[in-house]
Amino acid sequence: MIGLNLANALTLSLVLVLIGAFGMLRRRSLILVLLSIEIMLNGANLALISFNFFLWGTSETGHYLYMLSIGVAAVEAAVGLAMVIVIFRNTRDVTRDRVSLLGETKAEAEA
Amino acid sequence: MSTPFSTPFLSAFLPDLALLVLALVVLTTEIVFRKHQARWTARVAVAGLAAVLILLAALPLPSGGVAYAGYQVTRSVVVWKQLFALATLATILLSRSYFRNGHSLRGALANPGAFYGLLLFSTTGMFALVSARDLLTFYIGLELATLPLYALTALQPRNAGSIEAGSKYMLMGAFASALSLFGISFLYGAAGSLGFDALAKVASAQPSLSAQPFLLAGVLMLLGSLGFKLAMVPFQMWAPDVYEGAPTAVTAFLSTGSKAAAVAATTTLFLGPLNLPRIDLGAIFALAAVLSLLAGTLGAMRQSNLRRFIAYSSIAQAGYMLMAFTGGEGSEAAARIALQYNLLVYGTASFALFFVVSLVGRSAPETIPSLRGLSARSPALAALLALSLFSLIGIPPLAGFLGKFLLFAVAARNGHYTLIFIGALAVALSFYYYMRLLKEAYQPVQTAENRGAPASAVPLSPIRLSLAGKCAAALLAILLVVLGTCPGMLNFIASR
Repeated sequence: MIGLNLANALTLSLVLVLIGAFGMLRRRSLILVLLSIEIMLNGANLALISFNFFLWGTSETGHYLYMLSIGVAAVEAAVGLAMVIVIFRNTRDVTRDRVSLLGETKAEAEA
Repeated sequence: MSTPFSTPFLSAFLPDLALLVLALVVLTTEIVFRKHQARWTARVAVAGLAAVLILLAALPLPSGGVAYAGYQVTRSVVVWKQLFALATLATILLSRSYFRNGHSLRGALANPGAFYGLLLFSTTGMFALVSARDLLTFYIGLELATLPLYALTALQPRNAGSIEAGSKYMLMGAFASALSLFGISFLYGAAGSLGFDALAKVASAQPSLSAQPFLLAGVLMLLGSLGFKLAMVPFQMWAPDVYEGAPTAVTAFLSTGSKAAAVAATTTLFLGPLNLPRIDLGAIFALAAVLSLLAGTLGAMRQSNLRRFIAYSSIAQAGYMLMAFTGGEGSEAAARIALQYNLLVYGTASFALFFVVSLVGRSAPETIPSLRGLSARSPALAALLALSLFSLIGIPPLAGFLGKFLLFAVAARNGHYTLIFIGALAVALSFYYYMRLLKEAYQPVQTAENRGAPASAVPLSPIRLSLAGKCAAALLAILLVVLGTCPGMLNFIASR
């Protein structure tokens, strides 16, 4: 039985952040990359509220930041999805392979 | 501590409020003006920003500054805000021609309301960022400053490069944002409060940082996420692609305004509450500075694309600026002044460079070979380019020299002589890559044709400047010389 304590909560949040970071690096689909970012942010949020709950229970500062960060995450998702829609319109595809035009090789080729 | 709505409170916060209102107004101008939208939106934005600058300069501030809840305004904060407002103003002036057809090979920009509105929202975020007195304001300011930039980068949706740069920037930025939130949560865990005062107390009270793993973890994660905004090694990979793909005016803002905001944010934290006396963060900054100098210098040498060249040059410049964080205890004021002066000078030189690039880019791709024959096409423009490049290198009579000198002096306070030696080496190497631009500009066209360069790639029609363009070029040139020869004029930085 796993107890509900700070160490376990922080481990879970670290695992979530790492899952998100791994997904960001590995996933080909941009939608899944955006999902991975959300998982990362939620891992960070979990750390924030568990610190508030287990260590500093007398105030709610951590919860304030947590709520605001949900708003920020929503804005990030909105900007990200807007870009995915534009990429889909241009190429009928939302994988990363479609967004690899820029880079050194092209710069050299132009020369 | 002052109460809200007293006179010092209002005079300290009025510029920020005015900028926020201006951003909202600019968003709606597109609806109000049916004709000449871009022109009118730019006019409103310029007039409003000028008003904000006047407010910043004219409103009195008590010597100790004003603080209320998570927000504070001091002399140094006002100087940062002036820098941001100036960068935004210059970006707007530079961007005006890009809304007209035929002024860029990449096609005209659309949506002037969104463009200028997002730019002003980003500036508002920067204002909040430097005024932060707790991590909550800091985080929201950081996000408000960067989120509009993702959208601005992708503002030419028909251009595959623009949308690719935008999505890359967005993904990397979101990663950095998650990292900074994770770091902030650890700092909160260590201090029990988001306020800078509580944080400073915890940071200085502990016998050693290894006894405070939360604090150390939080500091390192925040450093990483700010390193991304600074384009410091090892977080610099995004910069060349984003600088290449973004619309030119946005690239100019990224390399000046956004860079200034990142430096200001690092100053706010690491010369403020997280100025840890027990652990030598200076060593980490010194290492990052050396690596950034190396990556920027080596990268810039082999570029032919002007925007990628500017990206690598800005990575190297970030390396110089990181030197200011290695001074150790007691160097905060000197470091702040060195950074502010340096950013003003670097911004001026950058805008001069972008001014030239924008005029050359009308009829040719933005590459270094396109500069060929510039001295024949427009001697004044070639001279401005030379001044800007000399200032970026740091040749004595010009402003860049004093900027680098001040930064090196801060690093010398703590005996980082190896770092200074590497910095000097990077300056010497930067001669080579900046001079490549100048060599092209002053190369006689005849030799180029003899070598069999494709004639179509070398458009040789003379470049005619409009009256406003002439004024802007003259102003930039005068600033580059005057800032270097009489920096005493900038006493306002020291006295404030």
